[in-house]
Amino acid sequence: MRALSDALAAWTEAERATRTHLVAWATASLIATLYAGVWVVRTARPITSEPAPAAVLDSEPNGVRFGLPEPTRKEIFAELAAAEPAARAGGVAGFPGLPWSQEDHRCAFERETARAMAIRRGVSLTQIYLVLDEGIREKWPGADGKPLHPKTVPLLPRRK
Amino acid sequence: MIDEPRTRRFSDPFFAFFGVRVILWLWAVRTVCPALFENPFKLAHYHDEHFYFAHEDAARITIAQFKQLPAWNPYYCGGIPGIANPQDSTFAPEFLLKLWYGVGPGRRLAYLLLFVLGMEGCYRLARRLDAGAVGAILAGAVFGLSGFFMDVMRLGWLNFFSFQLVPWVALAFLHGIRSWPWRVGGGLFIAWMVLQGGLYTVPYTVLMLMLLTAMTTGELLLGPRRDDRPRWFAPLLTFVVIGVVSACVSAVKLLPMLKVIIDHPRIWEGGEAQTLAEIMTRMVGRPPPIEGQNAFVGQFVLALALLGATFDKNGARVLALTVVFFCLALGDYADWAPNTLLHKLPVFGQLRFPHRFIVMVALFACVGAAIAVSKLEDVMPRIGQVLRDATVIRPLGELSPAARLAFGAFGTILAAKVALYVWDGFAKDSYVETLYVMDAPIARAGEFHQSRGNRWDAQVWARASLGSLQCFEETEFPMSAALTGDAKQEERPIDPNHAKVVREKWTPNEITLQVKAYVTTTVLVNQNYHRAWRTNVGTTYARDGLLALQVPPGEHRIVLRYRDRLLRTGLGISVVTLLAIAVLGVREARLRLRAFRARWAAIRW
Repeated sequence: MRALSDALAAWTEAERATRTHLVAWATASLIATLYAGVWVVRTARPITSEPAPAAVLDSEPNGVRFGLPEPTRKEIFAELAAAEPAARAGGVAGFPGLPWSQEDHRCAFERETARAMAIRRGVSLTQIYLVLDEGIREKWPGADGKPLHPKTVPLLPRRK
Repeated sequence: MIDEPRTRRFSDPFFAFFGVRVILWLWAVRTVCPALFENPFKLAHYHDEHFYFAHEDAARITIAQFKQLPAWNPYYCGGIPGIANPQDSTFAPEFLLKLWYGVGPGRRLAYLLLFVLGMEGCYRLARRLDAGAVGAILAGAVFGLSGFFMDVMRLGWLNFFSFQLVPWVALAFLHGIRSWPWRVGGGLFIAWMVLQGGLYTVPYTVLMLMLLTAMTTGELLLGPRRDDRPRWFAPLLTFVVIGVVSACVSAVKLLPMLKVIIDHPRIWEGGEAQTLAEIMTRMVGRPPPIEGQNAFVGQFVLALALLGATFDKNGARVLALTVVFFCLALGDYADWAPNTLLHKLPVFGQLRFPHRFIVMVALFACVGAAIAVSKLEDVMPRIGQVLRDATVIRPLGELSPAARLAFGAFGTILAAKVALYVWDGFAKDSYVETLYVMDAPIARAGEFHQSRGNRWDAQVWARASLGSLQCFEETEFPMSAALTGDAKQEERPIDPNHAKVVREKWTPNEITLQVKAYVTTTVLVNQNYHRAWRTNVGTTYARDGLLALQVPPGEHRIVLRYRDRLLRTGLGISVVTLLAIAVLGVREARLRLRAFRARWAAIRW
């Protein structure tokens, strides 16, 4: 009875007054920590085990770039370029007198076009933007027959 | 707050093992936020997630691919400072996860790590303030998974996850009043916040420390004088040591960042005032019906925090902190409003949206709730004693250990029931099933060049070895209007008849060029000028904001290097401080080992 009483007291007082208590406590703690380690690995596995998406190449045989043949790239660019005048007008209308915000707003429209196109064509968003970059660099004609403007408006963060 | 916790409860041993708690925290994250574990390479929809991903990816590429420190980020805005950017997180410890697993999975693992740290920190803080294990577990789980963190995870603001370290700083302060290692630990946690780009976290935490310093100093000056209590100035000393350690450890980021902040102060002309109802809605409303951040903890946690304050001194102190931060969260509702006055101070003046103080309200409300739940545990043995006193005429002695344990167990069951009820409601309303819906960016193997870009999908560019000229930054970094996304050569002579320029090697911080100049001429680099760019031939200067290089006639192998002196100085200070801390740590470990051996020798099997 006395032993039971001592054990109960040790429970509530969290006493580790003997070497036995100490070793038992350390062992249990070690087991709990090791088991937690297993849990950490299991929990993180869905995040750590997934393979990264494959890279695209700058140039491949038969005029393929970024995994896309040239006609497809030109179609994509033409569609993006066709949407640009309306995006510019939307930017100006949204933020009159604020050039950076107008350009930023245009880019928000461009993003919507690019995302929709990526889904529709079953390609990656990166591929869409790579094609846009190629078209601008190569001065492919836009809807009005002129190349797209290659510059942007310098940064001017909002203050309100 | 000064005194160590004394109350022993039946539930104490259940969660005493760190491993058991870690399992519990992981289970809680998996239960409430399964979205975190799906599609690790995908991104959340919100553009700020893309912004941070882009910066971290640029830093990872600079380190992993080019073996350089990301002092300069050429992948955004036409080139801006990297580590010195206030929002950069290169030196944060969790950046190693991004470096090893890639930015997408690394960010998820960082969230997981910080979730667990936040829950454990809140648990320990509640225990330090004499809460029982059951209440502290509830506090840890609710704070760590509160609406604030769910919200900032949706937005991609990993740097706001440094708020998960706030309870550790509070804990380090309270322990640090008596312990040197804890003071250093507190400094390390704040340094982590700085290195993570915790632009809100650090000022909020410093404010919390100031309040804690005032409260504990008052407690020491006005409370009873005892031998086991430290001197009255111990809290102030702790505050100073934490500050010095954090500044020295984070000097590698702090020094170059301060220069950026001084040169390009973040000007914020807007104010914000919230009603009491709006702030309450952010704490208890689900889904959050108003714009901005919420810190959902639920109505029961707030109610429990009030109860805790009624029956416990520590509960009252914690409630006082909750009220202070609540008043700050109300914003600039008057000229004398706490936040309006706070905004007049140097660093605080650059902060927007005072309603974000609700994360601090959430923390202290959770700790207060833990104290309240613990009172349920405490009351049962007392009831047992009252029953014994009422039924036994003589002698009116103490309860036997077994009876005390039985009543304690009953109290624990009661507390656990309450905690589970609160948790169930909270977890149901906090559930996040889907979050990551955006395509993973794809790498492109090719030479770097600037592109017109688009900041709304900023995650795309660095991985594709492109720079996005179109960008957004909170800091108004100088940006040239002459940058172009269709340059045939990224480094070119100003007049093609005066020189020929061939790129020999390109890295983010170092560009090697072969230049054949027929006359003294200028070579233009399609990046923004910064004074830290150095050259081995000629001189660098700004031309229309572009990085320009004046070259004498002749054939030259020119190496342009970005060298930030403040970054180097800061790096030296950080390394020396960490070494000193390591030496102190070894000394402390030896002392503890010696103490353990002495104890071991003093006890029997």
